[in-house]
Amino acid sequence: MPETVLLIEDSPTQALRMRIGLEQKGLKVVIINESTKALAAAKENAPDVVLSDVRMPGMDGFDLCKAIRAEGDLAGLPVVLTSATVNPSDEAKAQEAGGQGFVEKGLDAGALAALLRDVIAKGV
Amino acid sequence: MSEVKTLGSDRTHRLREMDFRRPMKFTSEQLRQLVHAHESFCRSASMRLSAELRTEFTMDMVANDQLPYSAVMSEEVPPNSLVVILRAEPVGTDVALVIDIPTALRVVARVLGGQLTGEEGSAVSLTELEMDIALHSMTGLVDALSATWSDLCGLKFSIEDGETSAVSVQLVPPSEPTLLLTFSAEMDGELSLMTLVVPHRSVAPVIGEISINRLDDEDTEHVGANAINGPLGQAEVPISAVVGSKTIEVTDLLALRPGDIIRLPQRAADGVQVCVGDQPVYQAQHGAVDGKVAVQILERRTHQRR
Repeated sequence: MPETVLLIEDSPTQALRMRIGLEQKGLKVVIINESTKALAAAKENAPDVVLSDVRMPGMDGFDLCKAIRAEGDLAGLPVVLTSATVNPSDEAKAQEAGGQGFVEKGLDAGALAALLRDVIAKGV
Repeated sequence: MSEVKTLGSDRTHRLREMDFRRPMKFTSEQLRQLVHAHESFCRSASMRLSAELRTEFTMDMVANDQLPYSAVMSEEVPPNSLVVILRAEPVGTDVALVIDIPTALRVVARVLGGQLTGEEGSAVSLTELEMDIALHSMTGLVDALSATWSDLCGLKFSIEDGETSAVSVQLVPPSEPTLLLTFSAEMDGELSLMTLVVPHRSVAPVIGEISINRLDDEDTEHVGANAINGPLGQAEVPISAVVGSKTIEVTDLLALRPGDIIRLPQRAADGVQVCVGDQPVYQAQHGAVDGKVAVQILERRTHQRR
């Protein structure tokens, strides 16, 4: 049974690119293009991990992470945030929001899949 | 559109939410037509590359988006890609077709008569020789793309150059609104993406023609629809699916025996033509449904514009 990744990404091209890479590494990927629909999708799909873009219209990745932590049903769901540019303050904000990881976009699919599996194994 | 009341004033201002990360320079109507045209492009490119590479190559239109040029090249495409720079004539501007390196390598291997395994196809750069072969083997794809844009607005593309670092390709200023048309490409069981990067200013001189051409089509179709809704619509039309044709001498015809093979000039990958009389109307592929011969329509054959 492959691990399920709930991918929250407003760019359809980037979402597809990540899905192709992760599926080739044996993960199942569910894409949600609007962050405001992410909580409902997390409850519906019961993913093993959430991989979310940081910069999104509506609700950014940090706020989404906090919202997941605040939901009783989803409190144990690991969240990894991703962004095109990574700086130390963002990594700190990700930790404060309750995230389990922060990665730069463009990471090799194999490395990203390994990181997600590691996060799933460790849990929240 | 939302309305807000400013503090200390009774005046109501109408504010429109603007997302400057997603500039909408291409209108929704232009976008709709571009997407439709590129769905046809995918079908013709799939047939063409399948024949040229002698393996099944399938392209599909999967996404479109509008972003500033810098965001496209730094975030939407992989940093190491084959960036095929296309010259657009007669306007003399550039657009780019971005292809994943593994896909480019798989194409090169097929052109050279081989096939890559998964590990071999995971390289992140191309040698000069691989670059030259990859660019050369993209000619068929670019010809199909050129035909699509020529029909849309009179643009023709030719390969100008190739690069392997997307961020180093500066076709237009970084803030230029740019359209991305993303295609999936499947070959040898591996799926990847190709992205056509169209800066607005590269097509601005001719993009208006898309809407005009559509109006022409609409007018024509409107007249045609009226005729079909009338008595003409009840007329029966014999259609035929034609695999191919050629002219032979009578003596050759009379000499034919069971088991003989007649070679036709049409390529197998081109499928069949659905004709009304001797006029080809649709491109199709043949198959079977419930034990009977059937054809599946792929696309309407384009008519000559005035």
